[in-house]
Amino acid sequence: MIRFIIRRREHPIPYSHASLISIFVSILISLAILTMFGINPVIAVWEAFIYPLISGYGWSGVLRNALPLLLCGIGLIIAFRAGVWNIGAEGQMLLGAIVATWIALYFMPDKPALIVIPLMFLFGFIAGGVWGLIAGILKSKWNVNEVLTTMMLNYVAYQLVYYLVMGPWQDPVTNYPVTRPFPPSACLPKISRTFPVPIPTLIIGIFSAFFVYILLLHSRLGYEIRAVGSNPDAAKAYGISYEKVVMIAMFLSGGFAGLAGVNAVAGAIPAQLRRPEQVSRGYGFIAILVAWLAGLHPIAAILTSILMGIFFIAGSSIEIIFHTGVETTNLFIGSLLLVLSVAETLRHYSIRVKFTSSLFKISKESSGE
Amino acid sequence: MQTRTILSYILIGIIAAIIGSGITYTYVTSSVIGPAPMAFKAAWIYVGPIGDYGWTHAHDVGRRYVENKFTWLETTYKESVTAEDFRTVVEDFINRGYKVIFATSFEFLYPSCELAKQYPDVLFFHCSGWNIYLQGEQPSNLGFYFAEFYQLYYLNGLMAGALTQTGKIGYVAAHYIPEVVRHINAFALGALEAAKYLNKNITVYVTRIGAWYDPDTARNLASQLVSTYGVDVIAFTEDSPAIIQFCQEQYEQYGRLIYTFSHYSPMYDYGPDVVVSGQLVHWEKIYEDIITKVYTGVYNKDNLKDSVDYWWMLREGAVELGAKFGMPINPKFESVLKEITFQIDEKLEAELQAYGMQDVIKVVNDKKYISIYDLIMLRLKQMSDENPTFDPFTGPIYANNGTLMVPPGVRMNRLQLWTINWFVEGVVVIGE
Repeated sequence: MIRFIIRRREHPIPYSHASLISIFVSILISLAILTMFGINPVIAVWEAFIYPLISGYGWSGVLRNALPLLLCGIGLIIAFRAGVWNIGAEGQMLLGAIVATWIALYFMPDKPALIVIPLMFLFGFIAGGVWGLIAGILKSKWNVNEVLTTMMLNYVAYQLVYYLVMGPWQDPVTNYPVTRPFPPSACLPKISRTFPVPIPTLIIGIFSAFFVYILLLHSRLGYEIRAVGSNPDAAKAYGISYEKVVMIAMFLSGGFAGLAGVNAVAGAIPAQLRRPEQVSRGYGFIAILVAWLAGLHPIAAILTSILMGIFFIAGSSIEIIFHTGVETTNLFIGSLLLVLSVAETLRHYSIRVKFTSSLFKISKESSGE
Repeated sequence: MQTRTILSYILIGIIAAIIGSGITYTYVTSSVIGPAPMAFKAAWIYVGPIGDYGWTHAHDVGRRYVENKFTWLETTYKESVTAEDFRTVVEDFINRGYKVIFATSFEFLYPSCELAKQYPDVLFFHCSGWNIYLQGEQPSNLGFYFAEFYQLYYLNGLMAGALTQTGKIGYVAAHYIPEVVRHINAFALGALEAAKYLNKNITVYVTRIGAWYDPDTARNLASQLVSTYGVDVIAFTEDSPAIIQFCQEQYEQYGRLIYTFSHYSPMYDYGPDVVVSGQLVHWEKIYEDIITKVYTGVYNKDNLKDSVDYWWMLREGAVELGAKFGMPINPKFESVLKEITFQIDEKLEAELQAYGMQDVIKVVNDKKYISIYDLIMLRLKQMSDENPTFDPFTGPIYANNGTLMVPPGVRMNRLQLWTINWFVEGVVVIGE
């Protein structure tokens, strides 16, 4: 007879260990699934994960995918640390993209880049923040479930972008559902033509990660955010304003997603607003995984977002080489999500399997060792 | 076991896997005999899945044709690529030794132009774009090709106009780019011409999806056209047979006959009771021509801008009228179209005589009649001619706001057709 003994660990396994094991196990699972489809896993690992990276050309794609994930991810880390479940990074990103487009094409199409680009990021942050703040206010004032509101606000943002690109902002030359290309002053400068990673976003991304690290772990506001996140009632008892913290957390969370939205339009080639699914591209959802995989630590999010970027490139390469359809990237990310969810439980609980010699012998032991 | 111990095992495992895969792979690839020196590799970038059974499927048929035909050619593809992913995918191909890139969507126009500048040694061929959109920025290693359907849409329009009972015809468009507007207009011109001969009142209701591949929205819009606007013919520009399946279901479940047309791929099998005809493509003709000329050096990185601009139609055999290949009109409807007759004037009689078709004229009480089917066959011959003697975009053509856009007797030129952004009279655009 088999017995499972589940015990709560006195000291949970650190996030870093759980994450590393999850990454390893999930890659093994993904490769096992690919093997079942007749793909040689050795060639897959070499061709998809190693060759693009050691020969260098894969890195620009990795970073172009990692940057929006990093920005959305560190935003989510703020919200999650405050115990607010922001699922709306997609919508907040799109609002940032809309405002950046408005500035680039209609508000100041003829101003120099040094004015336009900072303003796009500033107002993109505010726009994404306000979109997040709507859910924040609803939660703090009337205790409306923020999972539902942020999720539903995503769809509002999707439809808003659809309306703009198929209506008033549609490209008049081709009638295609995209806006006109931005003027050169509103296009983010790239590292080089062969390595088209937007420099402003790269700087803002890394700077934001450190900024959020200091904010969360070495400031009064960060202390309040963490206090509300771990125990709202205790935080209230200590005189921390729950309402204020939730609203600030949602504003900042949405703001960083908004920055990713600015990058998605102004950093694209050509720079323009497109249909919503081509702007947010699911980054807002995958960023949830980035945040959790980083153990809600902003600096670690740099590494986890790069890892997701590698998954994007590797998935694409496997699709190119083995013609596996379009789901290979999702296979990697999906198995990682699954394994990480299991690991989150195993961090806190240990499971032992015991084989007892007889079916009829009823163990008198307690559930201890 | 300590977690630290587990971690060190994992680390060793990862390193071993990397080294092992490298050694194995080097061994595997080095044992393969290298290709002939003139051989090259070409990659196709698709906007939708091959299984769409429409646009992308038709391109893949063309790709497989040249792959099988030329032993020195190696091809590959990537499905469902978005404009944002285009760069990543193409760079991956180029770094794996692909020298020829076929970008098969309008979405890839600007990214193709940008990448062609960045990789001047790679040959880029973009399907459905044209230099006017690039405003003089076209690099020398980027060429264009397209198999144009407007002649076939016009013929389908003749059938639609003859068959409709309600006088209301629907069109589900992907986008309102000039390519699709041109097709809608050609379809409407055909329907209106048939209406003129048969004394009908016809309106063409047009609506759009906003995406090339979106079967669900296409279905919903088709359903809306039927229930709200009472159309009994639906043509479409969408990359799947979703609308044909919808029409077939309406026929099977409610006995409601909604005529429709195959688009790009032979979709007859999805709706044998509803597909009248359609517009089919032979991309392989264009691909064969391009690949051969690249192989022989006629096309090279310095002359694509000036020499590659395919705009192939019936004359070149790049397109075919049909519900499926070899079936121009579904036999179920062919007899119907042969029974719909109308009185002809002297001009049409002369045109029939010029193509040796005077036998089809039936004389009743000194009046001369032909059927719609005969008219379709005449137009098909005229447009397949070496110098087409008929073009649907010949004036007088009025826009749907009543303005005369093309004076009588004038044929629209290619620039006008490639920038067309107005709808002909009889077209009602829904929801704009």
